[in-house]
Amino acid sequence: MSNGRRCARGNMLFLCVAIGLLILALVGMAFWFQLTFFSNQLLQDTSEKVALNAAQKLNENENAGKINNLTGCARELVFSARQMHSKTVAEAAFAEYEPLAAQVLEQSRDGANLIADERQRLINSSIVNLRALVKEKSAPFGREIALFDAAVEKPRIVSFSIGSLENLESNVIASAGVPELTAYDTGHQYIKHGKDFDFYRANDPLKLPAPDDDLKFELSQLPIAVNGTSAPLRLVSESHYKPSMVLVEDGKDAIGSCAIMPSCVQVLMSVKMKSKVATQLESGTQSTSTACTNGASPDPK
Amino acid sequence: MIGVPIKRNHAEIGLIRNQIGSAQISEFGAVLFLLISCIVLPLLNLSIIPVRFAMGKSIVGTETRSLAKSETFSEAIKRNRDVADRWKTLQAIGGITVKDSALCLTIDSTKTKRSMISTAPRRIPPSFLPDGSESPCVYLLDLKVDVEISPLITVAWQQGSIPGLTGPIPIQFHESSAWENLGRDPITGEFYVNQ
Repeated sequence: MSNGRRCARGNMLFLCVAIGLLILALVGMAFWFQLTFFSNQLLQDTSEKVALNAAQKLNENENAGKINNLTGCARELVFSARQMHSKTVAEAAFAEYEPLAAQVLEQSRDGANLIADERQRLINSSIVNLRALVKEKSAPFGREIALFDAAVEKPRIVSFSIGSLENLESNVIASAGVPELTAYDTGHQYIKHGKDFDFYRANDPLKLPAPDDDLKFELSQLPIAVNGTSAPLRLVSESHYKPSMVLVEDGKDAIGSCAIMPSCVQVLMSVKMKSKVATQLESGTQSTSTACTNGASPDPK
Repeated sequence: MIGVPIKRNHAEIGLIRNQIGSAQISEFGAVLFLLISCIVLPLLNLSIIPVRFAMGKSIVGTETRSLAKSETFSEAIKRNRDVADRWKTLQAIGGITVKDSALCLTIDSTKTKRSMISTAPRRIPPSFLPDGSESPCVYLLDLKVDVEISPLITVAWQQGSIPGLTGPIPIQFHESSAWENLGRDPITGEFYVNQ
């Protein structure tokens, strides 16, 4: 009888402990799940914020839009100067102006080269700014979050690249001032026809007829302002993104250069979750965000 | 004698407890069986539903964000129509069956407080466009997904099933995300949100 009593009490204790452990395990699992969703949401928000911050730098003070417009103007200037020079050579009535026309042509070509150099300097400067931003964000930032036995580490950048969007063209409106140039560009499919205006394609050398075909007038992609509406800074779908240069790969800096001003950035971030009790238990999530820079401002009326 | 407390000494109390304790020996197995079959198992069966719900909601939320990043509204609708691909991740969780999904654009004017819903491209009236008289407006992409979430174990009964316990629960996920592309297409002159 006394043995039976001891056994019964021991069973009840075992049952209580077992139920207690089961409840504890379930609560722990619930916290783990909760933290997983929370960390995933946090990571998504953080990666979007980083992508938007970086994309903003690609057209800060509308530099990319301005350099595109300057490139377009320089191209038109070289074409017009060449036309003028050809006229002074071909027509005897203008022959005495040939030296002046030659000087104008030379200066317009020099101007085009100067703008090309400035464009490359702007690209390099933007990449340096982006590298600085990535370096700032590459170190784990934010704060560690802990709930019950689980802790979420700080998010970190795994990879970072710059590139462009497919089907996005330049912000340079084709001028109707030089009909011969318009005809030439249309013939070479440099121009896209819009409802209210025509505009130049991006990422194309836009070569002029010989002997000025040595000059490159590459325009970068930038959303164009249409009827006074400028495209705002925004997140874009990864499916339309085309990378052109990788700045960070597997968490390490990657070396490279870029010939054309990028319009988009893509960032891949990750976060790890660890158990404080079972230290070997850990899981991680990743989030990719792509952002496109703000478009060109409408022309002042 | 009713109402008069019975005074017992410690030995008597101990004897009564022992008598009760002895009953636990024979009842322990039955109690354990009842506890497991009537409380633990149904609770475990039910407990998977909030887990699946949370995962499903998270996936629908991510998909809504992804759709809101589309270039045009028609592209978002097209992507949503590809249900087989779109909800592969949701169905991969297991226990979630996607029945239907509906996508619409809710536009709220912050100026006049009026709102409208657009379910197809080119249906937004000019006043609700970003340069319209109602602007500034908030453009939210709404995604509603009707699903059935099954418990861990479902029992097929002829008489019907108890939702959540022996059969799936019908649930609607409703997620919103701000529409991203508020620019204008230079080819057509239209806003991307209305294309």
